[in-house]
Amino acid sequence: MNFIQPWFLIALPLIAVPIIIHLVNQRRFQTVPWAAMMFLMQASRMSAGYTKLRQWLILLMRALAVACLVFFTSRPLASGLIGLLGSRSNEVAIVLLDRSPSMQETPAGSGMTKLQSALSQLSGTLKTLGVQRVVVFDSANEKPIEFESPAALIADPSLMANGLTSDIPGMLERALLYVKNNRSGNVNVWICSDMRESDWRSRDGRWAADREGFMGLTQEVRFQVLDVGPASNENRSIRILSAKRVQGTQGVELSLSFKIERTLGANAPSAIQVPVEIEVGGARSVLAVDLQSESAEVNDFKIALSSENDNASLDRGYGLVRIPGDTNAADNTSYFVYEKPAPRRTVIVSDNPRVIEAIELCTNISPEQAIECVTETVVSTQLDSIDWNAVALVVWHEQLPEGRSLELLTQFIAQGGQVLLFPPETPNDTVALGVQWTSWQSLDSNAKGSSTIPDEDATLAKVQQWRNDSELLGNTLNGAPLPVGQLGIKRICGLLAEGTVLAAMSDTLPLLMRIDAAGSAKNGVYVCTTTPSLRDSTLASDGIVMYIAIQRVLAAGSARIGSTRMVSVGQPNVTLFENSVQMAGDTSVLSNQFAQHPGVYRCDELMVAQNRSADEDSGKLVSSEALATLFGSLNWSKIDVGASARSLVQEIWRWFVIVMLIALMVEAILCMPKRRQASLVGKAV
Amino acid sequence: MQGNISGRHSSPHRGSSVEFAEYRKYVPGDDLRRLDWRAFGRTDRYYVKEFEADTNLRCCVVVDTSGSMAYASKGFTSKIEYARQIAAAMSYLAAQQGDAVGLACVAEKIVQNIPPRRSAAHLKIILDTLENAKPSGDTQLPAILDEIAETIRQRALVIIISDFFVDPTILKGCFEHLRFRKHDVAAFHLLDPLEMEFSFQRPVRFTDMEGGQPLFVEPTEIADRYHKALKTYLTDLQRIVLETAVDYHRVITSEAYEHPMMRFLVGRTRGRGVR
Repeated sequence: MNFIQPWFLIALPLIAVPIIIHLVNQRRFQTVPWAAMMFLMQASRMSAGYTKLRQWLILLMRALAVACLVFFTSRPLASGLIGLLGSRSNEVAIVLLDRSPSMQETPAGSGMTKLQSALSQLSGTLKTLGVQRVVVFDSANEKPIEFESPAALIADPSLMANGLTSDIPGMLERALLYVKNNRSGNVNVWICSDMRESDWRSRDGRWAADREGFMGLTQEVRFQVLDVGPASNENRSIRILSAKRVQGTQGVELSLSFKIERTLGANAPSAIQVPVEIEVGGARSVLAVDLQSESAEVNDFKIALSSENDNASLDRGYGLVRIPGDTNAADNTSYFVYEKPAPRRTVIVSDNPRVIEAIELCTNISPEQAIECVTETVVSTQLDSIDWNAVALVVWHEQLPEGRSLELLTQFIAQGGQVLLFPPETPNDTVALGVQWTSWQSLDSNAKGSSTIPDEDATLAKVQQWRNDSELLGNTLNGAPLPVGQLGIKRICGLLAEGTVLAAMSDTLPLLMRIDAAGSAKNGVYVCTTTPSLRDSTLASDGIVMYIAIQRVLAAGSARIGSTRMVSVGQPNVTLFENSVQMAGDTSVLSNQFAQHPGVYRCDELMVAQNRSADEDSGKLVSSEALATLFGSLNWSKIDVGASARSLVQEIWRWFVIVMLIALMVEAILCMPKRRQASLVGKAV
Repeated sequence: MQGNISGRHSSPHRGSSVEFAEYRKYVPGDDLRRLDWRAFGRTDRYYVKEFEADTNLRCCVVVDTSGSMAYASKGFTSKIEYARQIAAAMSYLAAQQGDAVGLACVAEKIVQNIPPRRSAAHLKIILDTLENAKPSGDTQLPAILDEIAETIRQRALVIIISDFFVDPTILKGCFEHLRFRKHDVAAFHLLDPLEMEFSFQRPVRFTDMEGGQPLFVEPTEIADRYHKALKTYLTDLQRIVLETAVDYHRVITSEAYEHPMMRFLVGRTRGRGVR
């Protein structure tokens, strides 16, 4: 048993007080000369056994009551968890700490963020358990942070919340490595989190590896998942969707799109008005947004970039949108940067441009007036002459690249460029970028599987399946699906590649695929297994789908062009922030932690607006069932600790109060005088 | 007629005298001289004629002067003082009626023994002896009563004034012994109110007034059992005095001594205790 105020146990000798009082009372007797000793002797003989037992019981009850009072004031702690942990080696505790923005939420009445309360509770519990060293893993630091005492957890600045979405399976991976390398004894792994799916990534393939790794350890590892509580019902968040510099009728304007979301509690009003503060170049304005449901989007809200600003800020600048403070301060601000849009440059590499001339049309027609689109058609031998830094998209319609061409393309992709591959007329055996063409196949029902070119009146095969939830063929912003089903395909080229199928003619015949880039987070290679040529498909004649898809991939590629970036925390390489200057954001953030915190940062000519990831605004939690699946047969338990500064262990003083009351009641019953018999006086004979 | 002079009060003993008392049926062993032949002539049955005789009385007052008799709870007369009052009053009454009165102060043994005599000077000796009687020592009442039963040769009224803190079964033998010797026995059982109530609250160390081991008790713990033991004792004593035809009077020392005296005298006037 442990105590919150163990110094009160000094009073434990007070247990002797009833005994001392009893003894003193016995010594304070009065001496009475007595004649009728024969009755006294008889009475004394008759009651000796019971009286002694009763007196001992009374003394016991009084001592018990005093002991309970002392224990009660010492605030004893106990729980099954602590009972289990108490007998284990507690020299080292491994803590996997979720420092994501959602952990900055401050539940009503607690006065502490979830992260603070988790650290406070964990610190108290580890201290209670006698843990001497704490090893903390988080997503911001590759190496674990070691603490010499649990008390150091509370105030350490390196454990403050950041903007990174946590990667629990990644942390487990590193914890496993740590346990293996350090040959620790039995280990308690504490996972502090608010159980967001975005942090737990329950579908991540690393979970199985982590599970098997821990199962294979010789020492026993016990996982304690500390759930700091669900999201508040009173939280609102704001996120910048886009910030574009446009030429308006009154001059240069900033077109802002942002989204406000809120959690709808049972007692929350259905409609509220949220004042959104917009700050651009030091000038502030407020926009009241009516929030009728759980979310509202404001699209293309125009703010004039006034002439009072200097010319430099007309071309490039930064700002933020902010909503009033609520339970979570981390999602109340979103940062943006803007600049005069650079031309979206497309390079078409083709040895037969006529086949894909429709693509040139798609890349040349800008979706927005302010954006200039430029297309350059070359052959593969001319690649060295291209300014790759200005290119957003490469459309490749030749034999797959080799040698210098492949090298240039690989570098381009690594820098965020996008590549769209179309099959050549006579594909060879070249393998590049994870792709290999095989041969053309006719989809004409009369000559199915034939490699001959279909006639003009050949039947058109329809697209059987496509992904409309995201990426190139995803639904439009208003939710309308692209008319992919109306496309007609006459023939496609066989493909050997691994990737995500975005559209397919059948299970074995992909039409559009994104190649999974091995060992890199960049997925900038798309493969279309047919061409826009009329002899191959109706991609050109039914050009909506192709135009939208190409504009989307072009937009993705153009993100690397220009001197501004809008990224999620953790997305850019940390080296980007070396020697950078914070333009906006939390000024208390240390310069070596810029990569972990939202804000606007400038590094040389590059200006980066960094915001929390979109997953953070999704309140989806990991269910208990999913958690059981993730841990499998590992020794684990989940503890709902709530958001407070109390220790995880349970106070059991109530039991001592109850025992004390029972002891006092029993003592009172034992002390209760029996009803006196009727007086014998006066019964004279 | 037991005495050798005529007294003022009627003798409790039936016999031949001048004042007719009653007829009773003849039983074998009766003196044939006491047969009423006239009654036989009238009824053809044998009757013995009994007369009530006026007689003088030999009264022996036995006062317990053991240590326990010194007990007196706060505000009340001690038992020895109470015994003195009763004994003096009894002696005075007997002397005034011309009866012989004697006194025995007893504790572990017979401390003072004044044989019954009939004179005014003798009464003074008795009163002086009572005044000087000091309670001390253990109670050996049963042995002493046996001794007294043997010592008093003539039939007498033996008045025992004591707290009788002895085993009732032993006491029964003493009473039977006295009764066997044809003595008329009266007993005044003196009890202090506190001995009856036992209303102590705090722990008490009781010291035996007759020299026994002290006893430390929590009165509230044993009060019930004390009362139970006392009640049993009194019940047993009550049964014994009935069985042995002893004129028994339980006296609480909180009441005035005239009351038990009155009960005693009225009882005797009505024939109680007449054997």
